[in-house]
Amino acid sequence: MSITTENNEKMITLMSSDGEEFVVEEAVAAQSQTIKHLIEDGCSTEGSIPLPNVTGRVLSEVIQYCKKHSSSDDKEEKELEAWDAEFVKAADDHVALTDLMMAANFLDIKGLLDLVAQTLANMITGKSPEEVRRMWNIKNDFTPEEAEKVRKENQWAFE
Amino acid sequence: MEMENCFPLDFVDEIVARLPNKSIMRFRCVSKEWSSYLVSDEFYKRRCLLRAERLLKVTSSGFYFVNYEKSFSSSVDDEDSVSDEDSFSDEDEDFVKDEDSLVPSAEQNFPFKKPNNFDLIGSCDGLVCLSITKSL
Repeated sequence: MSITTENNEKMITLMSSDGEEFVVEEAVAAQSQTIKHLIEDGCSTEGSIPLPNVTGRVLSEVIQYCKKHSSSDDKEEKELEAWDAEFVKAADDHVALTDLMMAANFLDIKGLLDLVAQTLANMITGKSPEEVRRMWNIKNDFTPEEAEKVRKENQWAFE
Repeated sequence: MEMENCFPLDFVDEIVARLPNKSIMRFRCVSKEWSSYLVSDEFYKRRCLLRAERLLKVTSSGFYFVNYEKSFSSSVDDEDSVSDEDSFSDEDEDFVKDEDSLVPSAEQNFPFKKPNNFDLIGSCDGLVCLSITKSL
């Protein structure tokens, strides 16, 4: 659906995987390279743009980010950095951040992807392999012998 | 995209490539998949690319070549303990710390009058690609 607001800003509608609709300015949505290409291909002229990989909860966070970043210019760099820091803090835990990172990847929003991936990296930098497995439910598929061998090879990293 | 009961390997490099070497080598113990991926050429290239991006900052006042303070002081005296596959050289342990704490090592003036007109596209081996976004 392509409508125009009073100040002549073109609006488009995005639909999340769970059917929630978001009406946003085209300039905001086009922060996502994926959506930008869909708009260029004419996908926004008929109804809403479906985003089958992103839930409404995650999409609303992504839109918040895009709104902030499309309305700021270089002069506000410091303020924007502070806003970014608050934004990832509000995402709360690594599960929410991982969802956000996957959405940023699918929607191709480089700034958001960098921001979230760096936050997750900072979160795990001092953790043990066991803790990392627990965070993302990764299966330990080493036999005890193999585990011992890899650990020995990388012993210095545990000291 | 809600997270399921596993972590797709596609995203490992997004996160792990930003970590210090010590964490990366420790995380080879997470699973077989992580173990082989973290010593692959593909991962190494990805890491180099990310690092190059981070070493160069462009602000409205000029280029900054960021000098990450060397604080890597792991006691790697027993060479046998590091596998031959370890293609990562010694470098700062502070890699993931906030960029604000880092010191610009050199500042170059833009050779143009209106620096706000530029975006950094990328850099490689000291060559910088800028895009002019508005007319001068």
